[in-house]
Amino acid sequence: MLWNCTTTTKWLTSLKSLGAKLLKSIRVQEADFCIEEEWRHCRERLAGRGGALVCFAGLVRDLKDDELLGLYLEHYPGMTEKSIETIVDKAMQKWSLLDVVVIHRVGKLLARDQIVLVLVGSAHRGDAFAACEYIMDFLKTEAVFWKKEIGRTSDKWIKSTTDDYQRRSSWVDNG
Amino acid sequence: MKVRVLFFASLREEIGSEGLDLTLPDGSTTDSLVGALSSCLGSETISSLQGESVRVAVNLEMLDGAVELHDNDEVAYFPQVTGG
Repeated sequence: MLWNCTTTTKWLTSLKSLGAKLLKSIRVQEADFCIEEEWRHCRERLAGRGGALVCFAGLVRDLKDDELLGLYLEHYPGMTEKSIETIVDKAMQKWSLLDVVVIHRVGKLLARDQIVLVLVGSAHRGDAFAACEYIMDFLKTEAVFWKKEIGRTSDKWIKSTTDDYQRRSSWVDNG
Repeated sequence: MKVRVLFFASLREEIGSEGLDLTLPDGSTTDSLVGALSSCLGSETISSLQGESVRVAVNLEMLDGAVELHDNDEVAYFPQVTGG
């Protein structure tokens, strides 16, 4: 392949108003992640400013078909991170957020493996809940990844579901 | 001018190529690039690249329509994305 899977870490900081520091971290990596560690670091960064921290982790479901061995996630280095950053930036414009972490794994994954982590910190729970759901709904349909089911005898690329698009559209329809 | 073309996921498998570097005449566009790719990779490449769900990006920016290409541009073709 022209590209190998890579690990990218990007920390960005901006000032929203009068020293209200916004933090976002976007990582695309083959390695697994530790939710407890990410949670602890996020709490430390919130440093008393945050009143809510919402965590979503996506997992590989047990594969119903015994012939399936796992998933393979492909990405486009550079563009994938950029597509996630666009989603996070839109969430930061829509809600009052203090800290956002998105970690998305690539490469070969097995049933029950962790695929994706979204952590959102804010002063109040409403912003954190809504932004976390928004980010996940757009990761499903806008982030530049491709999933392939790996079978014993054949492989199959997965397409986004109608439900994925309906969830994304509901955000657009509702502003 | 030289451009790098990349194919991803199912499109890469369908076309049978991960990508290639091409030399194009100045003033070439993403539309004329399809013709050049067809010459290099076979006429069936056109139907693959013009599929309804195929998306095109130039230098990591998603396109809505045809654009003029420039020296050292990177053009990526890929199918519908499925993250999360």
